[in-house]
Amino acid sequence: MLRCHTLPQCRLLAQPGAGMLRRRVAPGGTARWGAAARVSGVEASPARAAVEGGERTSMAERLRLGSLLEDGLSYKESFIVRCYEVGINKTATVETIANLLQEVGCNHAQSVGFSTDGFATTTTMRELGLIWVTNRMHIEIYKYPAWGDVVEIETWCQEDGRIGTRRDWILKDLANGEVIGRATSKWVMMNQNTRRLQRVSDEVRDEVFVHCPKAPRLAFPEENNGSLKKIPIRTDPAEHSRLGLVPRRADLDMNQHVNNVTYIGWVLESIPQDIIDSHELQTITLDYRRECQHDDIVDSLTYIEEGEEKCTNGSAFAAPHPEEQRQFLHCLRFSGNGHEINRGRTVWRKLAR
Amino acid sequence: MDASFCSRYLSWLQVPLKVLVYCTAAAATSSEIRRSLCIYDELVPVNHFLLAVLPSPTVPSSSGLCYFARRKASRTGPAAQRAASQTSPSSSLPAPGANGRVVSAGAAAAAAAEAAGAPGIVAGCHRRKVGISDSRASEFGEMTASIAASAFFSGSPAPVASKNALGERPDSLDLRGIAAKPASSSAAVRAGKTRVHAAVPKVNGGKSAVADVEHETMSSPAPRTFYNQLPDWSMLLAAITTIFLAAEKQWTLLDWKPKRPDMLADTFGFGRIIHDGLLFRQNFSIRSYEIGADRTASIETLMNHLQETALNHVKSAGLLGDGFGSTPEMSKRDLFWVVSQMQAIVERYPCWGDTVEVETWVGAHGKNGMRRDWYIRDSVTGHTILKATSKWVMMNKLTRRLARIPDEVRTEIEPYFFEHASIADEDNRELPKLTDLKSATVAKYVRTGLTPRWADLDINQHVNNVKYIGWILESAPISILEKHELASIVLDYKRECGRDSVLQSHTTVYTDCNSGSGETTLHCEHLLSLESGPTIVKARTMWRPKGTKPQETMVPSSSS
Repeated sequence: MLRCHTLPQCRLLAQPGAGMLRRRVAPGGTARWGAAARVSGVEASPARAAVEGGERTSMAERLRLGSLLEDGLSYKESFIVRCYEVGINKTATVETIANLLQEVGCNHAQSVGFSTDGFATTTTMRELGLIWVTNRMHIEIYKYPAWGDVVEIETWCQEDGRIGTRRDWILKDLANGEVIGRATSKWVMMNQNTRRLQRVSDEVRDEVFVHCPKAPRLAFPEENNGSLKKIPIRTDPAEHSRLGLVPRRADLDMNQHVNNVTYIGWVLESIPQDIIDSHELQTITLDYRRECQHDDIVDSLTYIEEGEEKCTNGSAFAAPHPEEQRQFLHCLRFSGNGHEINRGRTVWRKLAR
Repeated sequence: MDASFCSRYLSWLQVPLKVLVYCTAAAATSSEIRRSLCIYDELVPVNHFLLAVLPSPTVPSSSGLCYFARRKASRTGPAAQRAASQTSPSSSLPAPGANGRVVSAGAAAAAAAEAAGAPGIVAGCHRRKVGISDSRASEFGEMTASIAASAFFSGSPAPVASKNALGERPDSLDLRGIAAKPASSSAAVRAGKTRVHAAVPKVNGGKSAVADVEHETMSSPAPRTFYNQLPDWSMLLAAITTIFLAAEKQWTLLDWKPKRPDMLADTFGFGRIIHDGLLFRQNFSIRSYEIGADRTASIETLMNHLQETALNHVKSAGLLGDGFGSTPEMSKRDLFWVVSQMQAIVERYPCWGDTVEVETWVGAHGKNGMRRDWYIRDSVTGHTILKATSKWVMMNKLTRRLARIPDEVRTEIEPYFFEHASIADEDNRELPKLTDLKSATVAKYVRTGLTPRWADLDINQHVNNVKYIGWILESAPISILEKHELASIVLDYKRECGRDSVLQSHTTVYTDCNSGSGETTLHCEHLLSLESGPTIVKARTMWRPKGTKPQETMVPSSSS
């Protein structure tokens, strides 16, 4: 079973429309400002900012709201890293980054007119009872932002084969324009009721992909990059593990399923303390297989990945020296029956302390 | 902005030339000029200088000066307003100054126009925004007039006159009875890199002082000799060159693009210190992953914002030592602040996409403690969202024992103490003692096996305070959470826990069916402890049914 793409803690209200009064969803593709839905919340602020100081308005506005780019094919938004999003290294945690990616993905979908209930579906999809589910998530971070840094994230989506779509992100440090991370994710369409995969039919394709670049645009254009690598199953005993992990209330989404970002936290739980103290997560790849609910208990297993796999993420960026990299395979499974929930790979680079 | 400014500037080039020509011609009728100068002596705003010349019918070339004066007349309204604006709390100065990052000259220049549009202070400052570029251009016009006039009349190098002006400013101000704020004139002095800077009027009095002094020196010693001095053309050329150079310098300073990331963040994320440096205010927009089950921000989100503003306040005040919990003096002594109690009253919860405005300030708590209060309002409607207060004690990092506040730390932080309670006593009555409650049912719930994750830990590898709230609510039954919303919470922090702790959360629910309104309000007692026994946090919560109309309280924004 695959993960639903939903807002982390969104549940449908009894009256679906009630919670959406504040949102003005723009018709697809015509919204210039991605957060047109936020205008009701923020319109006084730009006005006040305008009063406060002439030329500073546009910048404050620009930073607060996300926007579709000129061609309407991708979406950019900036976020400032807050103190509670920062971890033990004084830099943002990978969960924070994942949350921001999810946030900007949601905002993009909203800005082009997808539904605001957290499923980001088009009208046709809702009629046919189809939803998006995440298949794979791959995040690479070259430089973690610190508290107070502003990160600009650009995102777009496009077709991926016959049944899928992909969403890519590029993260930049707003101050100097440096690329600090890239991410990509694969989604498939599933029937909500039968829980079976479904092909992207033509009418859905027209609705969904009109907002996507026609020419393939990849966050990871290079060959043999890490986002494509298969993650094998390991049957030997894990070198490290953390058992008995339990979902918290805050981890659940509107369907009472654990949200995507929580899995990342669980995967990291079984990394030993000495790696956490001396290394920094560079890459994480997760394959989503099953869904997990509030009452489930989860085990997190970590295997060391050796051999020629080192430093093969094929990144176009200068890769650190192989000796300074550690690579692990991960498995999340139900404590009870041992079924696999997620599979993952992480690559860690040594911290320059 | 630059292009239009340039074109305006170029158009103003004609003005100094006109002025020079007309002034030259006007010199012929010396007595009239002298009379006009005397009239000028008594005028308050400098832009009335040439208006004074207007009424005099004997000045032959008054047409050129009239032209100039008309430009001035258009600014009398704003000028009066600007004078009025100086009397209101000068928040515009502390705002850039407190962060200590804005170049002061640039601030003076930029703030000169912005002072009239001081944030949220002067009514009608909308007009200021539109008129900024106009006023700057006309300021140049003013400068050129005064420079040209002074170059003509004084016969001494222009900069020298300005030095005199600067030095004698207080005297001249007193003589003139000009109500110039010392702060602004000192600001001008501070920014007085060039004579033109000094001439840029933060208050009109500053400007008039420049020309005033010249006329004073002129009129007192030899009143009738100036008209014997024919214009010195080389001086005029020097004046023109000065104009160019000064304008160019001011131009580049006005080209204020924040290149440094912290300036960027200042505009966007860090908030600012207001109200004479005592309050810190910051805006947040609610992100999608911060909302809870019912599409409203969770209490954890709001508490996170409180934490963020507290840190930003400390940072803006320059009191951030190592780590997040100490001032520099405290870091030297291995001391840090530990929260001992936290109380929050929530009136309404914001939704996804709302913008909230958080204000925070510190005060004293007893002899040895500190208090930090917060106030959150919806930045659009102004309605209260949350009021909170917290108590802090000082602890030694090494001995883990409570410590007294050393004098050096007291000097650091006491200037920021603001004795104003966010939660007034009447609000406290909402949390009656549990022993007084005649509740219908009492129910207990437990959740065990709670463990911190890596993301829960702060820099010191201790669990972040806000996470405790999540754990406390873990054991609250889902039926409560679905139908009620948290109205108030009091937390007593007893002990910290780290990565390897395993916790259990107990909740005791007292259902109060006898509340006056007939609705079921719930009171709960919570206990979060290690499985080995020691208590980490104790809490009291009160819940009201969802959809209860909150009282419409609004605390006016401090800037008004």
